[in-house]
Amino acid sequence: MTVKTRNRQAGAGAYAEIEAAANLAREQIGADQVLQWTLEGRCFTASSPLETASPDGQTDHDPENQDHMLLSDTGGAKLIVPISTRINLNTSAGSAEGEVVMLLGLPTNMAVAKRIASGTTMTILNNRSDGYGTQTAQALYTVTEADIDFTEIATWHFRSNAASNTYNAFKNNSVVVNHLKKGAPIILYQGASLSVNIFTGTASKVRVSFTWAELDASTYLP
Amino acid sequence: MVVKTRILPAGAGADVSVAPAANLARELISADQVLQWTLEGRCYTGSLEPETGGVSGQTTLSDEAHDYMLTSDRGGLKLVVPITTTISLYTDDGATDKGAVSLNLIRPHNDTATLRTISGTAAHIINNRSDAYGMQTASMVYTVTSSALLQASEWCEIGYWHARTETIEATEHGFSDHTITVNHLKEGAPIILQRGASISVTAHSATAAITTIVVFTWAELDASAYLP
Repeated sequence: MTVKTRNRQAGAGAYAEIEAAANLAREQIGADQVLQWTLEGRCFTASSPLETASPDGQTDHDPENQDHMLLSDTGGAKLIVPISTRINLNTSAGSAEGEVVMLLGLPTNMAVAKRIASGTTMTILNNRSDGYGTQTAQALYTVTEADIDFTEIATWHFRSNAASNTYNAFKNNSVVVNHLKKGAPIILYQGASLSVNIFTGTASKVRVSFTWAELDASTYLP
Repeated sequence: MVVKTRILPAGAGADVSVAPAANLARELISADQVLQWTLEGRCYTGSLEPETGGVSGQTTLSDEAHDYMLTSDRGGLKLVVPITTTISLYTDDGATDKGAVSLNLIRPHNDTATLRTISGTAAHIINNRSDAYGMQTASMVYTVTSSALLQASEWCEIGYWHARTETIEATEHGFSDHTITVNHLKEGAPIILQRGASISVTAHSATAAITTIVVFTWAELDASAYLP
């Protein structure tokens, strides 16, 4: 194997057999996989819409109500790979203890209409900002659902006055879960979902941003 | 495959075919992608001029007023890849008030007759290869006003941090409690800004009195080399 040194970037045609790039010290230059997915227009980010208040949290652990949900299409053409989830505690009240939980949901009924009774669409942008590519996943907040079995995959416990009634630093109220680099990746397929909920019994709220990649199932699955 | 061992880096000419470098244990030596971009003069850092105070925040988060904004050139020749964003709370509002800092991705619909206008004070930009090799095409401004977005779907919040805003001066806190560094390449999916897209940082509280200092670092890649 030989590599080809470079001091500038030069594009090659698609499907051409070429030598891999190296720098002038002959060190091979690796391409980041997620950056490559982004260049191909496969990565998306969802958030609450501009000037929209955070949705109300929950008073109990009833899984029929979900604060924020990333939901894969039931069709199965795409694998949804969550890359990161940002969770920010932005409203809290009272002094009760509370929890933020992240849930993996698997459908027990493949009919979307039966699983999601109601929900509000989050804003979704392609991370390649010329808008190349459209997503198949849905991102929703204030969701009412049915026919989903949930498994808790992460929990954060706090006193619910943490954001409002005590002195606190900006970074203390925020969590970033990097699904690919901290723990095993999750693949959402055929109607599976990822949810984030807050439970306090009072009026605590979180803001959430989901970032994910959509990969062709026919390319990645055997 | 044949590799070539080395004990010291020995420069090769550009665009020549060579065996890749390995150490004496015959392990292939990889080059970091971002370091390579930096060596090629493609990475830039933008910030306030020295001895400039923090930039004042807003009373609300909106699409027309921002504290800091990094915007790609409309021409589309370069892909602007944010590498890090560092946000430091500089002064608080002195009240028992709640506030937040938002990091946003803005993708204007540039296929319309009316292009988004952006005005503000130009930030100080340097090339991360300090011999100033290469010039940026992206712009960074602060104290920003911009025309309204045409659709709500042009705006997405990619980071949000909430706190009581008197925290920096009224209480004792650690050295790093009020500084946030977002590594766009390692924390989540990278963002690629092209054809007038922006990222912005805006602090907002009831009094708008909190101020921040923001540093953007980004790479500029040739669209023709990376996009099909």
